[in-house]
Amino acid sequence: MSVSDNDVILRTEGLTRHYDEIKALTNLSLEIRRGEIFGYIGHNGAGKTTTIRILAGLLRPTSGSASVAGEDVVSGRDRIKRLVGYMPDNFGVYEQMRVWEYLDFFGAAFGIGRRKRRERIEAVIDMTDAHDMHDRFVDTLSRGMKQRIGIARTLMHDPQVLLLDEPASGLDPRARVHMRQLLRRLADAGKTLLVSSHILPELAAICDSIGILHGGLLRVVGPIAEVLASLRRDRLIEVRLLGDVEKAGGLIKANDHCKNVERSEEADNIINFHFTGDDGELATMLDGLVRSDLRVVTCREVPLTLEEAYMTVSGFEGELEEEHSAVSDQQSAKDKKKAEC
Amino acid sequence: MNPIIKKEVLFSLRTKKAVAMQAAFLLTMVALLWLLWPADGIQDLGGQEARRLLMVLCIGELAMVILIAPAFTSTSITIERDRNTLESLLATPMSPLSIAVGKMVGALTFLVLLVLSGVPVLATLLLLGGVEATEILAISAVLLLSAMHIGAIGLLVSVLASRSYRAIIATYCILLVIVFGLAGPAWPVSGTLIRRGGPIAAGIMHVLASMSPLEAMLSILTPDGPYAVGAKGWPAFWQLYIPLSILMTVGVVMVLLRGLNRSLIPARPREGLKVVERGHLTGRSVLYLFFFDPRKRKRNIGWWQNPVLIKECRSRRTLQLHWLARATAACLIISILLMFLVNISVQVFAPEGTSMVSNIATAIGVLMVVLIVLIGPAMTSGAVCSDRESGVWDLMRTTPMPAWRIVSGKFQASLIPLVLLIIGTAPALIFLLAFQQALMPNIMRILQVVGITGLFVTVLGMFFSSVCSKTSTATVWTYGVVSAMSLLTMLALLGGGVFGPRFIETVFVVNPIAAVMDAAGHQVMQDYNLLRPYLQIMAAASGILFGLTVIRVYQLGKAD
Repeated sequence: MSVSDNDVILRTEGLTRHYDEIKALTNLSLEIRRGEIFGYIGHNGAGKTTTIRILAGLLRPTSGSASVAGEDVVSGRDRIKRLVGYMPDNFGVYEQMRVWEYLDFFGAAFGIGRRKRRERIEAVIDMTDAHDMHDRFVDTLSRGMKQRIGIARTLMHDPQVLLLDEPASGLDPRARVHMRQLLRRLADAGKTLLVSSHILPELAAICDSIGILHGGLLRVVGPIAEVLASLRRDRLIEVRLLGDVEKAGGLIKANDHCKNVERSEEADNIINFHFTGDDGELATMLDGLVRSDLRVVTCREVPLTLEEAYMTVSGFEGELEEEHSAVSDQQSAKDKKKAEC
Repeated sequence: MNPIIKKEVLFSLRTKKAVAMQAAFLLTMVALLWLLWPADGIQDLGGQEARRLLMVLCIGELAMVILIAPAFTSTSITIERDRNTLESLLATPMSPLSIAVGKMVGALTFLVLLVLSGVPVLATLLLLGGVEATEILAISAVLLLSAMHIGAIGLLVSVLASRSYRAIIATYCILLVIVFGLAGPAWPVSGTLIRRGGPIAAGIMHVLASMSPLEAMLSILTPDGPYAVGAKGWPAFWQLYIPLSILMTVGVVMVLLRGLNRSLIPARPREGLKVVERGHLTGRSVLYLFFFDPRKRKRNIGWWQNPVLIKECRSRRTLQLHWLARATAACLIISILLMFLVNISVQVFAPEGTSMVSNIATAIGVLMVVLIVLIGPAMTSGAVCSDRESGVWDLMRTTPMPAWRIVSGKFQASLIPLVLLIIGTAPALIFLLAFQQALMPNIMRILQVVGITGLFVTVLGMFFSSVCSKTSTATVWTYGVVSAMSLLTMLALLGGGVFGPRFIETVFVVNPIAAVMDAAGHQVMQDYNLLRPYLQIMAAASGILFGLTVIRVYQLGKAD
């Protein structure tokens, strides 16, 4: 199956899926380009798995359309199977079967010839760095190992698009690093990946673009840098000083463009504040600090994290602020205690 | 109140399954009562009609208790294990005793209610005369104790088994031994063995037979009948059954408590790295024969092979070559033993000549059918739903394999053990030709019945497996239908003159045991013409069920 000239390999238009009264997904319009890693973010029940299952041809949309490499997921379901590799959140394995036998079965189920299948098994095991698991029983593998074998299985028929539902959930930190490297390798090999996850730093590290889903509605979509920039209402500035930090704090507070001025939780000589002005006004303010004999070591703009972006889009910003203020209060109490000592 | 009792009682009583079972139970009882109630206007002074009716209703009620009880209790612990909630339960301050008691009371409440709801139906027989109120009380006591006794066994198996469907299978097999196996020595079919041994042997057999709820029930219903013959000087079976069943229930609960603690110990992980490469010979390979060595490096699936069949053979322990070899060897040993017994029997009972050989052929045919009925559902009822339960089904749905190929692979995999069983036991049947060559047509007919029964049981299990979402439910349904066909239809014989020969024949056309007896030319079945209708009905039913299974699997494979 050749992909159309258009670089968009996965497209949904007004995709909607309702389960009786529950609106799992509403009017999703999305485009993912070839070779892209698309991070799909949303809380539990936001509609991520519903989207992925529709794209894999396992679920019928209530309305709207979705296509992979130009094939409609409903009318061209049989062809979609060869274009897409799907790994569910919790996928089953067969007891008593060795890893290569498991891969052999799925290869045969996709109609891959015996000789080619033998080569594919070695190739996908190589790709997922699972050599030491080749002859082990699938059901005895750890969660991280199973996830790798799950990805190896999705690669057996060499699909163009991989739909991975929570591939990093339940993995230890080392396994997560391995998973990140693996996903990056797959993207480098020309695969398009749609990855859903709750672990936002994971996605931030590997994704080219993201979509944030909330209550079945796609709130934000686009390249990760653009999404983060678009969500920034004011800039978070971090200034590190030597000397009188109290005086610096006072001066910053006096500036009309500065809000939420506070000492950093990490170090005593760092001040954080939100700045609503432009670059020129920021430069003027910094100049004021220097002219007041304050020794500024560094000044940097703290980028918005994916977690903050997600909380902002989902309307949970208040919870994040509450958490920050609670941490800040704890820090103040600690400082006070320290001073008393 | 024990929170588990509260939870279990609420859960078991408010499910649709409970309501459906209760309704089915009462409807069956009322239907039997309505069908068999004397309506000819002749006064039955001896109470013969009432006693016949009592017999049918009581055996029917007991059969339902035996069939339903394992469905409720044998999965009560395994279901916690399946849902990963057992450890959480054992981590609470509740003692294993309160957990076990809670589970047992919860599971048995429904059964007790079921039995109690049937008592008014039995009590209506008092209106006919010939039935004493004390008899109804004794019958109710035996039914209640049977429910508790069987329920406790189911619960014990549930503690020991790792999966719900395995627990159900094991419980039904144990019940078969307890209900029929232990009662056997008191029945004419064994030559009333209980009366043949010395006083000690007879006493032991009497106590063992008293453990069977069926024997206890028969001893109340027909105290002087041929099925209630006990050892001399011993109390009636039901009188012994009451204390024995209480003792057994308590004993089972004690074992259960120990098992509940032990069930937390994780199983030893299997070593998966040891593989014997093709062409390499190790000490084990030489001993084992490379062909059967489970560690040998297998070949990739060939283009001519059904991937699902090969997958099933590799992932199911019972289909692995070394296990199949062991099973075939066991069948052959049974077959050789049977041949040996046949030889001795023919020598000893030589004067009885042809009828004796024919009876042996019947016995072997019945054995083959019973084995198929027992083993078949266990082999097939998890074919589709176990994949759905484990989540593998979604992965299968993403492959381009058509539904018919999946069903075909699963069907072949399920059929293999049954075919081996038939091949393994057939020599005993063929051996009879050495004594009487005229038996050839009978043997061919027996093999036809055995073959079609195997086919039907396989397809039936697969059908339920595709319809039900849980293996345990599919197992219960398959065993339920097969038992109803093989055992419940026998109730027609208990009705005596109430049911005419036409009715009995109509009921028996779906009974594999009756069909195989007819195929063997047994005299009990000489009034009925069962063979041809049985073969036709089973073949048609198998075809229809296979088609329905393919359609269902196709539906399951489609987008939701």
